[in-house]
This record gives sequence, C-alpha cells and structure tokens, in this order.
Amino acid sequence: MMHLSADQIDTLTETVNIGVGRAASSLSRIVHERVELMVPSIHIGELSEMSSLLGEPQGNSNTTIVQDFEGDVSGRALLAFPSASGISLAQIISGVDETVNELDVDLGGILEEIGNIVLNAVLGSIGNMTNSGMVYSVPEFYPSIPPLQLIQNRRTNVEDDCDYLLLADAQFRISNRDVTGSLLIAFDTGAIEMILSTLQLSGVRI
Amino acid sequence: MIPATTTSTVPSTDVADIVPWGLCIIDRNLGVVQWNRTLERWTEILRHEAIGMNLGIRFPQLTSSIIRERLANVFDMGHAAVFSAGLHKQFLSIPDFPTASGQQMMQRAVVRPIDDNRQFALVMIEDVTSQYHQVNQVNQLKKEESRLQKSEAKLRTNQQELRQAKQVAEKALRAKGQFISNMSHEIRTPLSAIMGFTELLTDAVFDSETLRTVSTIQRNGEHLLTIVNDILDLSKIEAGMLVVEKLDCSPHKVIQEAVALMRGPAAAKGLSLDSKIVGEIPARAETDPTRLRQIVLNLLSNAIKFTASGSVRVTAEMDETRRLLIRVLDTGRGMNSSQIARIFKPFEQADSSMAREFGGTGLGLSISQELAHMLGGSLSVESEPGRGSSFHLTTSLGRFDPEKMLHESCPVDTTSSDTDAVENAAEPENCDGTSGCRVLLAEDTRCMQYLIVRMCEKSGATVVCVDDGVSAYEKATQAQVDGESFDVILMDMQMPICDGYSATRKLRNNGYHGIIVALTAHAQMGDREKCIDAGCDDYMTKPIDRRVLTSVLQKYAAVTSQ
Repeated sequence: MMHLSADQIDTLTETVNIGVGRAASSLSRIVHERVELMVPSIHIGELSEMSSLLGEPQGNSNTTIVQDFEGDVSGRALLAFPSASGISLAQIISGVDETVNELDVDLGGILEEIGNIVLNAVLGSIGNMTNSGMVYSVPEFYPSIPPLQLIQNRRTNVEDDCDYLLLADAQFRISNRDVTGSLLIAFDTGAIEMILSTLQLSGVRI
Repeated sequence: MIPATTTSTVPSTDVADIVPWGLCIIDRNLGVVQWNRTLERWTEILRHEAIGMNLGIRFPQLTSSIIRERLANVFDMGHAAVFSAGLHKQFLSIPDFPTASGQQMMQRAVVRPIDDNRQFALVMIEDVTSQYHQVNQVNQLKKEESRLQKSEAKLRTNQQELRQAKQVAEKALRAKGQFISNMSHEIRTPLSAIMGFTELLTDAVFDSETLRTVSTIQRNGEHLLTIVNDILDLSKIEAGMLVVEKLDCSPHKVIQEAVALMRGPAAAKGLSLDSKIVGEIPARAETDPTRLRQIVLNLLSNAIKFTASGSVRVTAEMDETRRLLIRVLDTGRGMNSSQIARIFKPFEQADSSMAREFGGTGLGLSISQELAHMLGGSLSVESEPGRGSSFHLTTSLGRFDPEKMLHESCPVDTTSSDTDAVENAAEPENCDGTSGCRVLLAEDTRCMQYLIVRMCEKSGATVVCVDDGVSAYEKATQAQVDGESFDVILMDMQMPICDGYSATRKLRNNGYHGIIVALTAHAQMGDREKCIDAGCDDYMTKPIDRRVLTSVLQKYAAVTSQ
C-alpha cells in the first residue's frame, strides 16, 4: 500500500485549489458577487482509513452532488453539504427567500450547478496535472443519501475497489457568510498510481 | 408476433424528434449541426433554418464570459456542464413561448461532448416550468405558513405577556385585598375603643355640658365609622372582592327597617317620612337584605339631608321586568343635569358646596349604584332644580312565590329583621335575661378587654378574661370539667399565639358544645362564613355596640338556661 509524502499531498492540495479557484471565479461571475472558495487542506488515504473521517453515516441529513469521471484517472467525485448548509448556499447564490427551509427542485437545481462547476474545475485541474483526458458524467443531485453510501455504490456499480479517497473541506464565503461542505474524490484502482506517477515525473519527491 | 427491427430502420433524428426535450448538436464554434422538433416548436426556428446557424449570434446570452468559458471547457476538457433554471431561467432565450401554466418557460440544460475528438457537443434542454411553478407555489405556501407561524408565535408571546400582566394585576389585587383587610382591622379596632368608651362615658356623666361634649365625640365617631365603611366598600368593589348574597328575605321588611331607622333624623328636620307599596310586591324574595338596606338607607339619608321642608316618601312596586322598583322621592332642592351627571361618580357630589354645607364623602351614591348592579338592577335619578328628586332603585327578586304577595293594605310585621340578627338587634333597655350570665372573653387588646368587660358587667353578666386562644381553650375546658361552663364565649378571632379560629376549632374537636360568638374587626364578605366554619355560633363586628352585645348575651343566656 502506497503512502503519499507531505510534498505529494501539498502538490495535490495545490492542484485541487487551482480547480476550486477557477470554480470560485465562475460562481462569482454567475452571481455577480465575490465568491471565495478554499480547500485549506486535503486528506488522502485508503478508503477504509478515511471512512472514520467521514464520521458515522448521517442518515438523510446530507445533500450531495455526484459526478463520475472516466479515463486514465477514473472515479467518483462528490460535493456534500449538511442539508441546512446546502439550502443556505443555494439561497445565498440565487438570492431566493430564506424562509424556504427545504430543498426543492429549484434549490436542488442550483446546488447541482454549483457542484457541477466545482467538481468540473477540480477534476479538470487534476486532469491537467496528470495530463490525462477524462469523460465526465452529467452531475446528479442526491438530497438524502450519505456520501459514503454513494461511494460504496460506485464500488458496486463498476466492480472496483475504489481504493483511495481524497477528502477535503470546501469552504465557501459569499456576502460575508460562510458555508462549509466536503469535497470527496473516490479514485478507482490504478488512478492514484497514475497520479503519483505523474507527480514523480514532474519532479515531486515521493 | 411483432416483427424484429434493426436500428438502421429508425433514423436517429426521429428519436430526437419524439422526446420532450430540446435537443441540438453544436460544434465548438457554437454552429448548429442538429436541431430537433421540440426546439423548432419552442423557438419557431425551423430545422433547415437552424442548421448552420451560430447559436451564440441567435442567442447572445450564450456568449457571456462565464457561459462561453464553460462551453469551451466542454470541448477542451470534456466537461459535462449543467445550467440550472434557478440561476439562468432559460439557456435559450424564448421569453414569449406560451407554456401551459402561462409562466415564462424555465429550462435546465446539460451540455456534454458526444465524440472522442470533442468536436461536437449535445445540448439537452428540459422544460422544468411546471416543476418550477409548483415549487414556487409550494414556496409561497411555505412563506405563508412561515408568516402564520411567526404571527402565531407573536400571538403566543402576546398571550404570554397578557398572562403575565394578568398575574401581576391579580397579585396586585390580592395585595390590595390584603391591604383592605388589614386596614379594616387596623382602623376599626381603635374606633371600636373610642366609640365604646364614649358610650360608657355617656352613662357615667350627668352634667349637660360634659354630656354634650361626649355626644359630639360619639356622633363624630359614628360619622368616621361611616366614612371608613364607605371607603372600604368602594375599595372592595374596585378590587372585585365585594360579593353579594342571595338570601330568602322580605324586601318590604328591609325597607321598613330602613324607614324606621331614618324616622328620627326626618322628624328632627320636621319632614314627614312614609312608605307604601304600589300594587303588589312579593312577600319574600331572593336578594341580599344587608346590601339592599344599605342602599335604601343611603337614599333616605340623602333625601332627608337635602330636603329642607316637605316630605320624603318611599314606594315599592314591581316594574315591567318583574323586578323590585323602589322609589325614594323628596321635595328637596333638586338637581340640574350636570349635577345629576356627577352624583354617581366616586368622591363627587352635585357640587362642591354640598360637601361644605352637608358634609359627606360623595361615596354613598357611587357605592349604592355599584351595589344595585350587583343585586341585578340599577340606580338612577330624575330631578329638576326646585322640584325635588326621585331616585329609582331596581333589584332582581330571584325566585319568589307569586301566590304570596304583599299589597298596600297588608299589615307590616317589623318585629323581626331579615338583616343581620346581631347587627340589628332591638335596643335593650334593661338587663333582663343577662343577669348572672357567665361570659368568657378571649381578647388580646387590654383596652378592648376593659371595654367589653364593662359593657358585659353593665348588662349584668360576669366575665372571665383571657389574652389568647390557648388560655381560652384551657379555661373553657376546665370550666366544663368543673361543671361551671360559660354561657357564652366571646372569642376575638385575631389573637397572638393561638387565634380565635384555631381555639374554636380545637374546642369543637374536643366536644365543646357551648356558645361561641366571634368578635372581629374584619368586616368583609366571607368573614362571617369563616367564623361559622371554624365552629362559632354567631358573629359580631367591631366596634362593639353595647346594645348589640347585650342582645347577644340575652339571646344565648336564654338558650343555655333552657
């Protein structure tokens, strides 16, 4: 089992941050307001190890946008929020009335697009780093399935072990309000090796 | 058997045309390659017109930097891009398309590459107007629900505040009631001593000058007692603590008693005073005789006070609503309308000169009107300057027997009273029946002990005095054991160590059957009941009237001698 060094993790963190920076820029232009999006640190490790970081399955208290990616690097990317945070983020982004306290088609659609922008940007950044082409699925919005279950489903669907999981806090700051969610990327077998190989080639010490 | 078909027999454009989504294929320059029928319908751009058209030129919002960048990423990076209705409303601007709901069409669009070389991308546009519309309606309902919840919460807060305010008000009312109760006791106790000793002095002095002085003290004491009683009554009414009773009584007797009491003052002014029944009135009815008498006395007192010459008359009849109507008519100075408007207000008289000329607090009519309301009736007046006044008191009669009516010609029995038997005792002029009567007096105040002992002794009774309830219990029990029981125990209800209520209850619990008469400076509704509940046989309020005391001793001495 491979372990990533601090330098490799720093490089990956920077790569992810390049992606979220682009996503923030895109969101800012959509909402005509400054949107800050940061991923201060990432954790990457075997899925079995990372599960504990995700905590106990949180029932239906999560809202998640899922997007699969295929190619040299394959896997499933997720942007997950506690439901209240997801509603809050969609409300802030869209400027809708804050008396609405349930996710509906409207707010769900907005979160889906936000997830799409963020995940495309992050995955695009990883694709650029690994110089690999990817095909992306259309994003799907799940208002009540725990992220861990969505990752497990991927393992079942593609009959892959999804060995590694990248987990990071995604911190949105809009109109002086903070909303925190989680960015998760579950890599299929071989994907992490591809990334590490690229990092080695690019001079990062392993 | 359905014949097998191959995909080659079904053109892909046909499939694209039958789905409810707007579908088109564009190249990386946004040039249109395919255009389905749904888009023809939505945009009114026919397929042959659309193919080769630049989507960015026809729909300029697609050339905004963010959309252009995201579309570029579809071709450059292979992204699948989603454009939500919530943020964009329409991917292709078709504001005039007539949707079923009449709302502007809302679109969700997905753009993704369809070939490995990323030269072409499929644009899928979904009409989400109905969902969006439903969501908006639900959101409106939620907003309304939220608004209602807020209103409800505010209402609950208001109710809570009102409850708290009510609790504060009730607490204040209880405090006021307690204050009234205490003041009643505190004021009546010294008054009781002043008036009692003055009465004793009346018997002791014989020179006219001193007698006049003592009489003046006595008269002013009685006047002060009237004022105190009026103020206490008004306070009790305002605090909602005054309760009227519904007792079986003769209203006519009550009127006659009041008239009898006022004959002296009327005669002193040379006024004639008479009463009569007009038509018929019930022989007995349900009302509060004490309060009824208080009102009639007040009306008679006023009539006599403000009538210089002529007469005062009281009539009793049934009005058209089958209530008792008592009229008090005088030939006095009368009042104008502005004076009439003031006389029922507390502390007001017809005009300020009245108080100087006739005295009084201006509370009597106000209290009488409140009492009339509490008796289920009203009090009003008709008057004209120089033509006298006519006060009209109505009261509910409760249940009465229509077969037993009094007529003007009926003889009137005034030998017994319906009002408090003790308070209205006939004036005893001798000591018959009280001589040798053994009295145990339980009273903690020395001057009251001295006064009551003197009063009892003047009536021919012998008195043993104790200071508290414990001593009263011991003394009464011991006397019973010794076979020398007291004829009457006069029990002050408010004493230190053990009060009259506890002492009485203890005596009764231990089988004491002798007469116990409560003495209390409290004169509030319910006090009598409290005393009777504790085991007392009767009840006297301070100031103690010697005539009343003698009457009580006579009454119970006679009972015990039997």
